[in-house]
Amino acid sequence: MLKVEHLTMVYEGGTVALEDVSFEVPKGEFLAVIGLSGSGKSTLLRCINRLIEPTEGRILWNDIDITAASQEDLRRIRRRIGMVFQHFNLVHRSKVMTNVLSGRLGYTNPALSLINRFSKQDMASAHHQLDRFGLEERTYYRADALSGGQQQRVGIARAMIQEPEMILADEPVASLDPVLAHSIMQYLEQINQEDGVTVLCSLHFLDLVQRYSERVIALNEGKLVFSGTAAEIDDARFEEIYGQEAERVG
Amino acid sequence: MADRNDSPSHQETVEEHDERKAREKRRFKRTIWFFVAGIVAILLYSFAVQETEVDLGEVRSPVRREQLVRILRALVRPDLVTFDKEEITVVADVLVPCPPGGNGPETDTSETPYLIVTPSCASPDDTVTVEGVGFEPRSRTGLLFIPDSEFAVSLPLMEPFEVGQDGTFSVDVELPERESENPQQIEALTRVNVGSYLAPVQVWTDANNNGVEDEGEKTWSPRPSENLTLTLEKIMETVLMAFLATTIGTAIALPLSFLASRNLMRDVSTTVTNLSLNLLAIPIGAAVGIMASQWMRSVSETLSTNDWARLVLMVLIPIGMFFALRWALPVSEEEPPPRSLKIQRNLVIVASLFAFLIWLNVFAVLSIHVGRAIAPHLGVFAFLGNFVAIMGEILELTLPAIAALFGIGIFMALGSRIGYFLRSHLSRSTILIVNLPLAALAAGIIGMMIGRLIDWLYEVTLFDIIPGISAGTFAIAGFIIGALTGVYLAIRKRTSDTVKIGLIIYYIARTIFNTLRSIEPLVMVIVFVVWVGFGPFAGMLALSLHTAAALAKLYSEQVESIQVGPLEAVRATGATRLQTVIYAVVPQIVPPYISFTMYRWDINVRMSTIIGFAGGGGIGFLLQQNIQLLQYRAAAAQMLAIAIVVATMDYISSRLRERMV
Repeated sequence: MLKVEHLTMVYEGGTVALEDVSFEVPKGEFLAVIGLSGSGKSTLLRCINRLIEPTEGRILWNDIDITAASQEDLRRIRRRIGMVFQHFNLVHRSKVMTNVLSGRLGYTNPALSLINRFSKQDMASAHHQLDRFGLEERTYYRADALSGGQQQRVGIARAMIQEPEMILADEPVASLDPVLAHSIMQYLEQINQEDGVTVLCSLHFLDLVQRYSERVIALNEGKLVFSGTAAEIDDARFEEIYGQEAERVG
Repeated sequence: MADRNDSPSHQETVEEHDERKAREKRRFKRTIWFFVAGIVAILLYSFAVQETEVDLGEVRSPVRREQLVRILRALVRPDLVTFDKEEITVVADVLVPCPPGGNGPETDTSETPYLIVTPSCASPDDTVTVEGVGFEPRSRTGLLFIPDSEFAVSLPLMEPFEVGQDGTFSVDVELPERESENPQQIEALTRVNVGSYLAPVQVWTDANNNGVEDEGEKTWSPRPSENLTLTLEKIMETVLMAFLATTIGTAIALPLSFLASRNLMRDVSTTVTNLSLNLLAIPIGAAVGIMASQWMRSVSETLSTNDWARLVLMVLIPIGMFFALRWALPVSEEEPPPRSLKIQRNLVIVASLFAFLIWLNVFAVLSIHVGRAIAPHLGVFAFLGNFVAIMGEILELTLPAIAALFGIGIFMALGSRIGYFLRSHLSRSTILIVNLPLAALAAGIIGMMIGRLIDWLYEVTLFDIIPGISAGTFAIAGFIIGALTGVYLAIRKRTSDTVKIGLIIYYIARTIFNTLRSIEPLVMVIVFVVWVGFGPFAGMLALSLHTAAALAKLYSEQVESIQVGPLEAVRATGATRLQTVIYAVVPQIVPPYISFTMYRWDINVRMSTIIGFAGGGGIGFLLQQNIQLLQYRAAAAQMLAIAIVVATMDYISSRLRERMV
């Protein structure tokens, strides 16, 4: 259970990215976060694992206050929260295997990980994840030798090797073509349904939202303007979320 | 009609009018600026020309031009080879004074080279013309007068001169005051390069002035001149000096570059409590570390009395350490271990570090012994033995520093733990109260250390404040100022909890690098020459220091320009800061780091060619010497060598960099 309470984030320079946002995500839910570019979706997701420090408000996860956690506790929390990014954020020059294994860094002894040593279980688990996402042949390729869709699958494998209870996906398909987008979304759906991982996924296209998400929250200029199911988004709601001039595509 | 049609659009509104005026004003301003800038530029250039003492008169003067020609000609004829020389003598008879008949002897012109003396008879002190035909072009020739005498003496008639391009010459000489009825001789003595491959014959002149041929040592002719041999030797020294300096500089710059990267350091912040504890850890850790290293040294000396015992320790300690650390550092852990286990593990790690210090000691001593023992038996490769011995010595010398770093690391970790413990067990207000004395003490001790350094530099009299700790005026003042600063910071930081220590370190590191970088190695070497004496060692040290500073800056700029995405992703997995650097930063900066290191080697080779001018060894030393001795042909050889090496390095490094990036 993730509880976000009165979350406010003000950037240095006074830009208000989030304003008093509160919502709850039950365990195992697939929640879509929608809104225009700049509406605060990325900031919201990054506040949850405190890649960005929120200015005010609390984030409770399994009754642990993430916002109050010490650096060491935060690292323990972060390793159970996987993250998937729009631009994949792989280390280009590293091998696919190393990229996936870096998902285990939170569990690995810092001294030993410095000399690139991971436990046998971690190696096995990395191979398992690569297998699962159809990347076993790419294991020892450099990450930048992969196509966009493959890179995003590596990104998901990196998140999954953390054995997460929750995945934060920040526009995971925004830099992919529609066919690949569906394939990536299906992987996320599979993770959500088979492994019972809670997924918070920010999305641009409403058809993806309707097809994959159980519930939707919408942000507009940092404020929560909608919370409900995708089917409830009618034209009036749409205008409220995206503004008067927006037109529905897809 | 047209006027009326056009007028509405031409009618200026107030805004348009203002805009036009403003535009005109801007244009006028710009014109004025151009004018002013032009005048300033003219003034600046005139002044620069005056200050650089540009003197075209000098450039045009015939004497200067002759000098230039001399140097240019020397430069295109570098002293690279020596030839074996063969002496050729050509004689012509001359009668001094003229016989009653009036005619002198005829010259035989059937074989070249030959000499013609006109007139072939003359009175002493008269001037005769000596012409030569068929000589080696451009060879240096001396003219001698061989009098009719029992003794083999010869009188030089003039300074040696150069034969013309066509192998002829014509000079006027004054005959000496030697009179005889018999014909006397004018001799042209010229040395000719022997262009053969093997020059076994050496020509002597024995006591009776007879030419003697002797089988000398077989040598090639032409063969490399002594200057060329020396040049090659020195250019190698130069390149190797640059190589070593680059390696050392890189090794220092690598870890430090991260401290000077804003994007990595920006987020590093700590609480006043932790900062104070960490600052306290520096002197305490260093002192404990140095003490430990001395202690471990005596332990290792007790344990190993001979090299066999050392060899056994060399093997046993790593094995023991391996098992100890494997137990103490489990590869991965799901949950934090209980406190007692944590303490046990940390104790084992500390014990392993002690064992490691013993091992380093043993290793150093063993290297010195082995190196010295094998060096005499290696022949040409004796330098390998010396290298092993020197590495051992360096290790032995730096061991206290290594131990101090270990100590600081351990105590800092301990300090952070205590800080964390305090924060989670004490109330906010209690922590603020605890912060006051802690910050005062920490900042006071840092201030005292700085003051103590000033005391030492200015040789201030020291007195004991408490037994064991002596301090001078500056140290005490430093303590007080530091303590006050600490208290001030502790009070001021009441509201905002963290200190941006990362940015502070960043600015300190940047300042040091920029200062060191702005001092040319040519200047730095002077200090090192005073310390370690003339020679390539001083040059290498100066280059290393400059390289470290320059590379640290270049590297850190690379770190600052990396993609932040991977950094964010690795951080999100729960990795520590160090892990994030290793997994997300390092892979991104490898190619630019290699490329910058290559570039720096290139620069160092160039720099090391002239560092000899300031006493830093290498080819510059030779070059300077030859220039001062006006041996331009020898200097030309060195300039040529520098040009070839630098151009080659430039080419290789640019090719390698291309391949890397």
